[in-house]
Amino acid sequence: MEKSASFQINPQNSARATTSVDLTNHLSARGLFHSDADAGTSASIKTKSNPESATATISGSVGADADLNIDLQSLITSELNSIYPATVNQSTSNKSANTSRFIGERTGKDKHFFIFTSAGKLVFSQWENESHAMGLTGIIHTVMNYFNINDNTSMKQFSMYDGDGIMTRFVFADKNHIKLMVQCSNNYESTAQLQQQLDLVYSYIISSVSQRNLNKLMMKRSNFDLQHYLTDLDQQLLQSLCDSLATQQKLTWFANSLECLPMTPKKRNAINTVLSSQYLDFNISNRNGQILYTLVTSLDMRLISILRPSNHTLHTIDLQILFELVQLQLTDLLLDKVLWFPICFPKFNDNGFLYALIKVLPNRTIIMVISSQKNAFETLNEFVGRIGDKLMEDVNSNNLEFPLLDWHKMFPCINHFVYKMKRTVQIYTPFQPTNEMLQYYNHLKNLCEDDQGRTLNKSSIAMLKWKNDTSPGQLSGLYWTTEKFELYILLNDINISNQSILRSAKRLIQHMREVESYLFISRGVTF
Amino acid sequence: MIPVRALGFGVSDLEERRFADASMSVQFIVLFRDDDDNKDDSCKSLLYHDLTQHVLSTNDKEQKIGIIKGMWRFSNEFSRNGKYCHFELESYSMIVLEVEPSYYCAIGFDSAYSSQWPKYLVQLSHCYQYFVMQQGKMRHIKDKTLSGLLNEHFIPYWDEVNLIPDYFLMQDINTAIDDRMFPCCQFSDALDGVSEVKEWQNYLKNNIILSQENYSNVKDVCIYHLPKNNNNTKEYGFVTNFDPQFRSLPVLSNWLVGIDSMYGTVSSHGLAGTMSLAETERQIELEAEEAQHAQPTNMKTVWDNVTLPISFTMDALKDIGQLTGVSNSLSLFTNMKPTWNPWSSSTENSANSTKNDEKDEYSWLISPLNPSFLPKVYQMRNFYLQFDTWSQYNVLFWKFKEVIAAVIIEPEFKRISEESFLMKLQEDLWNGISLFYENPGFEKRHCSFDYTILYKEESKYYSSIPFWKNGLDESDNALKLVIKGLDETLHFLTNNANRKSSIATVTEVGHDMSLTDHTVPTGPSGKEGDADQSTKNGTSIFGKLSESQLLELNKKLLIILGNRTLTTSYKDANSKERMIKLNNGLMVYLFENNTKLVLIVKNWFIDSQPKIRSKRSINMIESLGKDVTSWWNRIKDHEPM
Repeated sequence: MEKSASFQINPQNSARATTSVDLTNHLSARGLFHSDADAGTSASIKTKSNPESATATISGSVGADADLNIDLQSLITSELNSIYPATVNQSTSNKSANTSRFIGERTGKDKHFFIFTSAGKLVFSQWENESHAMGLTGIIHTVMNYFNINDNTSMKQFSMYDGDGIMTRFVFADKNHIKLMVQCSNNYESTAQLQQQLDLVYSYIISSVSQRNLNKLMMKRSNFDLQHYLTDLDQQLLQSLCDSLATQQKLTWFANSLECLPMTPKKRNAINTVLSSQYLDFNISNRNGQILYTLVTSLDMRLISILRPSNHTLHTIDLQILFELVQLQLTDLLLDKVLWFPICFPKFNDNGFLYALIKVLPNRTIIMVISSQKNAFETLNEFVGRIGDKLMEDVNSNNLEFPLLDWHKMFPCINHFVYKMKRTVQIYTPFQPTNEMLQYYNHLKNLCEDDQGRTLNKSSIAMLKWKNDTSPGQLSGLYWTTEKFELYILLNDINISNQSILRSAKRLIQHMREVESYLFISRGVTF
Repeated sequence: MIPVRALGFGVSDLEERRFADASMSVQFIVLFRDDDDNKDDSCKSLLYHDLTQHVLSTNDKEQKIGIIKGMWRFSNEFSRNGKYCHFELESYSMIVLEVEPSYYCAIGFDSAYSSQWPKYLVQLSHCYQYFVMQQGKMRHIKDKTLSGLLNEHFIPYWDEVNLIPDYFLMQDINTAIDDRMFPCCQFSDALDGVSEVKEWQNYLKNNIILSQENYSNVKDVCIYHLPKNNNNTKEYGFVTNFDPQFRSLPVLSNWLVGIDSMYGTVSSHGLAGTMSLAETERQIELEAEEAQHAQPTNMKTVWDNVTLPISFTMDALKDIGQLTGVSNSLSLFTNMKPTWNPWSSSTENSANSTKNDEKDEYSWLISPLNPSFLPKVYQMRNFYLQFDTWSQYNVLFWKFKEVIAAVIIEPEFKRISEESFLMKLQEDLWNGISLFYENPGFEKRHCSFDYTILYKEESKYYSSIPFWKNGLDESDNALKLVIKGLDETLHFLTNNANRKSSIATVTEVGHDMSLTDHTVPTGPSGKEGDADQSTKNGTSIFGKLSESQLLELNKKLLIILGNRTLTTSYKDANSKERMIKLNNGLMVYLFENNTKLVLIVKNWFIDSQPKIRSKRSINMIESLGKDVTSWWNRIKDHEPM
């Protein structure tokens, strides 16, 4: 692997390069890097790259250089591939599911997010031409205000249908001081799902600014220019979030839940024990209250373990935002850097900031520690270091994942599935679905829900089959929802009786229940 | 801090408003025109009517029109060729429909019914289509005249809809599918794939359409079978017509069916368009009491629409008396036996029914034989219909038992007013329909599920799902029928506010020429059908539901059906099947391809049919049970039924 030439990082530059605003005078800045505690003293950082690849010495400023970033992205991708061959390149059985035949690829042109302040100032849009976007924002703003003032009501959505019944939908959200709209003509996302996405985007802004700051800024001057208040990095992150919502939505967003790394309970318990023992040690040494949450995840943001106060859980959206932030800066993290930034968890407390320390451990897992104290970096860094050491000592850190390998043989008619456990809001899927698969799952879910996301019944089964009358082959799937779980199944293109499909689905659910302790985290470690 | 008291008021106010609005589902109607070449960018308002009695300034109205148009144009930035639009707000919903290029129709309705918007859309489109059928395309009418005509057509139409609580929830699922679809009767031989032309059809064709004197003058005859009760949908709807080029068939059919469902029957007043629903005085009083503050505007004064001078109406009443063979004395007028009365109690009905049946077997409902003092619409209807091109035609309506025949005649044909021609026509119709009654051959086979099959090209649907019909279960007498002009005078002259004294409920303005040499055949459709119906009702899932359950089921079905539009963009998958099984017993199967749509509704709790064990069921429809499978195998290959 000779992708990266030999270059060096100057630690003084690295902090400025990745973020445009100084933490001391800008609370909302995030992504400030501290060099690794071990390597920080030396002038150059040696990355611990793949053992097979030649050791690369990196020098120069990293963050600001876009080309270099792209280069690094490809490096990371290839690295991820080598680490997780099973998840990225999982080969399925020979039978296909025909998704790409019936479902076209998404260009991203069918969905646009617009964000503006309640005074009508544009904050962000995905529209290519900004002056045109401003014009459109003006219309949206007028329309929303007209109904607010004249009819004392608010706009939820409007949909335009053409002669064939294909629609373009506009969904609105009026939050405190910020208004959002998404235009979407992809025909498979319901109003409820789009509203959920607007909420995610809004939460993302709040995670950077906090509701209290926003109120202060807007009360002082209602025509405050939020667009220029947000840092370049914020804008970049917002852009990347909206782009991925438009082109390649994530499974966790679709299912509104988190994904866990399947592991043997023994290994997970060992990690849990390390977390709790280290936490106790820390508290004994009089540093009580500095650590609020500790999360361990894999590099692809699948949860391994969580340490939390017994009376507080974190909201899924809060965690999704955190994971999104971390993933976008994974390039830097993999260079053995430590990420330290303030973050507001909108669903936890939208008025204040918490502080997160993120680091990649030597065993290729990410540890995230969240504190309520601004100046706890040193303490947290020490805590993370100790956990890292202990994990290397106690847990056989290679091959943490325990994949379900033989499910194809057990369920020959199933091409892909997603199982959601409603109690813990976690999902399991054998491998990440493609865009087309996700689109199809959206349709399956829509069968049993109305446009507002209300289910037809607590428990229902739906089947969907698409065919072309002139050529052989079909696309079919099944959706099963009860109070306890949701199951999405994409079937192989084989002729199979309905009874056997249902039987397979039943057996799959049974199997999922049997291996529940492998697939899901039921409580985590609490204190 | 908000004072608790103030907060309390706010909430109760809101609730009150909501309650008041809930009974008034449609809130406003707007029609406007937006010319492409208008320089000052303003829209021409053609009609703005607020049904909630809110007083709006011209400025307010223009603002709303402007905002509707603005949103329409805005959405066209993202997608071209928009045809209709649904706006959803917290407190109300709105449908906007471009009915003709640059002409827009919009209605606003309570957000409680927001999920029912496809039904509102279809209804709005129907309302427009009926307008065009009666008055012609909007773009051909001058603005000044147009506003008046729109006022006369749209406002009473939606006022009536608003009189009926939960009107749109009560409507069956078939009314939400498409604005061009109309119900058809089902015949057992067609179901079995035997598609031979029947004797009575041949008779009508040879004697009316193809006869030497009528040829090319009588364009078409459309036959409908519209029984009074709504128990058996399979025997309800369109039966046949003779010109395959008749493109306005859906509009005419839906218009007839709409009259039948709104007024409980098809009468000459309904066809002439002079009949309307109104609240009874008692109901208005009750509402006034409830509302505490009795508003005089709420009272439907009987004098608001007197179109006929009183002296003229005096003559009219006398003539009606003569026409129906009753003394022309006014005192006797209210004693006349009603020819039909959907509002009367069942005992009264049954007592009268035998006599009425004999007397009113057949008659012209709309024909030049009706007295000349009556408005022109009673002599013939002048409709804009499309065969090869749009043109005006004269339409006559004739009734025989439960069959309604619409005869479409070229406007140039002068013999239409001649009694001999009408006599001959009636005789031919009578003979033809008698043949039909001898062996109607309706589909009567029992099935434990409900279905709708819709053939897209023919715009026809065949359904077993019961439809809603007004006046069938009216025990509280909240509504009455009134005839424009005639009733008001009658009330004035007799000083009698009794609801039965409406002409609509007292007499029919039909002209029945007696055909003494013919005896009325007693068709086999009578008692056997009733017996069959009771067994059918026992198994159909709709027959067992209470009203609230029915509303709930209608809501759910609309959600399931509405979701199908989400997949319309996948053109490569031209045949889509879906099946949904809910834990409450509801099982719905939906199949759609380029030519048809099939909806099957079943209750899987009461599925007594043995499961197919012998062979593996590959097809999704086979999961619905043996009866559905065998029914499906019978009908799947031939169309329409």
